[in-house]
Amino acid sequence: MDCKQTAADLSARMDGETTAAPPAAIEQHLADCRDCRTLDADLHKQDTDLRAAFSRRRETIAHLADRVVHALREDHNPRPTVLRWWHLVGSIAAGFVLAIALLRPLPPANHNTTHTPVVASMLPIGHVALATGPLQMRADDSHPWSTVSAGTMIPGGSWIQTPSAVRCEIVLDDGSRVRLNGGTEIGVWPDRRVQLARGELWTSASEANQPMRLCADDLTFRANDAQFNVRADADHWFVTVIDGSPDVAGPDWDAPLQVGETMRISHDGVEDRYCEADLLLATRWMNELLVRRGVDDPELVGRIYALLAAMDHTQASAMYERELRLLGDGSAPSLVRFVRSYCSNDTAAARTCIQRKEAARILGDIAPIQTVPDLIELLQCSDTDVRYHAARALQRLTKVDLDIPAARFRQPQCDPCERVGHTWQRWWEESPDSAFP
Amino acid sequence: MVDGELVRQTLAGRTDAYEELVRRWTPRVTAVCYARVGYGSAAEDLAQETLVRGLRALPSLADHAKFGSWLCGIAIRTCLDWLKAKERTQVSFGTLARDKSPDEMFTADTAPADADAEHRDELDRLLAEVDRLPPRHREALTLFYYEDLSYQEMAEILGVSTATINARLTQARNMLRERMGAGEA
Repeated sequence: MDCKQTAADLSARMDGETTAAPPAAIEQHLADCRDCRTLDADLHKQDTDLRAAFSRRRETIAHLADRVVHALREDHNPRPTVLRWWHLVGSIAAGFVLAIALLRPLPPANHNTTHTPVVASMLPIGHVALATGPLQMRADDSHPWSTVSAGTMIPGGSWIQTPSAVRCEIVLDDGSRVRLNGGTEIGVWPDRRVQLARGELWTSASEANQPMRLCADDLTFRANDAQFNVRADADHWFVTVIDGSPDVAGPDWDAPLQVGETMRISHDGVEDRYCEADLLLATRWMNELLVRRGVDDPELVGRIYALLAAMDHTQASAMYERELRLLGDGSAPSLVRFVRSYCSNDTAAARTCIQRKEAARILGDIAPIQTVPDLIELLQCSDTDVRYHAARALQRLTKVDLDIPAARFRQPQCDPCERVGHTWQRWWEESPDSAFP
Repeated sequence: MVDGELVRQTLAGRTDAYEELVRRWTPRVTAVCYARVGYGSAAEDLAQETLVRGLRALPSLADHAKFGSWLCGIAIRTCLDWLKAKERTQVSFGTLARDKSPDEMFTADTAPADADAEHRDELDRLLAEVDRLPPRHREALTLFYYEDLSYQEMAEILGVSTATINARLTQARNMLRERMGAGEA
């Protein structure tokens, strides 16, 4: 026997497992090999220490089990202030009436109809991540709508609707996101199925073993790792594919959907398809939600930069500028970063960058009070247009100009401008907190 | 009551039956998650997520008696998804009320009152070295010591042969022995 094999056998013997070599052979080798005897002793000592060490970690497991049980109990008896229809559930023996109240017809595929997934459907399958106002949720037609807000967990089999002026974003457990435009109603189920009853939604379907299914009447849109927007309109659906390769199936037909296209679809199939001129503008209804994700949200920042990049003094630029302005305060930090990134860059490309000048101009009009320090910094920019628009914004926000018009900041040399800059800095430092929203 | 019967009762609407399954299988599921992603709150979150996913997916379990191995399979897939995405896309159970974080639980006050401080430090160092092992070796060692599984049980969970289990444990122990200092471990 060699020592390498003996090491494996010593390990197995210590674990109470069958060894490759007969026990007698192992014993004989140990009698002849001091190194393996030392190894055997070390392994036993190590084994004792490992058992002691892991026993300490094992103590946390009991607490873990308690937490899971607690969570399951909470889901079975959720807080009634959030969902009033749970009151009925809480007062009835667990399971039986709930099965009647909550059971919804589910697609025959992937379901064992002899087992009613009553408990499974009560568990949350997602939550309302963002909302521009209160929205409504209910279990089914027999239950009244309850008002809910951002942060609400969504049980499987729930229906959600947005008032006409409210938009929301739902995040599902599988990582998929569904954004609802105003006046939209959807149902959500645990098996990656969403039903669009009316309105408009955008979805980013995460990648998974089975595709996400968006059902609209007798149509089914299937998507895996894809983004698309669907708007319902009487007997037609308008689908814009932003990313990925979803497809659509009707009662007796199916068709792939192409990225960058908008398609008009009816029960009979794809009636029309055309290249979507601008995906940014096609989904601009989501901007209000993106702003609520925070000024540093990557998707918001990316959208702002994309809008800026598209502004090239063509006719369409006015539309992009309008979208930037509608983003309001939410776009200001990104615009500042964009402008600032060019200020220290004295290349010809930077000097002639149209987008920088456009971004500065927009900032001049919409920059909020929180950007005062950034605007003061931009007074030092090598681009005179940037200095001018920064001065405009500062005059608008601080009401301080010392009789020096902002246009003076366009001059290469402006001695009085430095004085105004210092004054604005003092104003910022001395202003009370009440001056800021 | 055997697992199969608890599964049947759960599907009939008795959530207390699933609670029993949770208590029974939490150690194993946690061990699998620790083994896959390393010790820490992420593994515990993934273990909790596995247990809840198990409840949701229960109707799809064909052989109720194989609940345990089926649940471990879910745990492995959950961990793989997390490792692949490197982001918490699943519902984070960090929002669940918990009295202590795992680190707070794992404090000196949980150790025996007469524990030798130096020995505790040695055990801490040993665990740190376990966490530094290559993933497959850490996985095998963690599963073995957490749950005291047999080679056959580990082989079924990990989808390898018992000889492979033996080899990984042997190599893991050898690496620990070297890192901790021969003769001191």
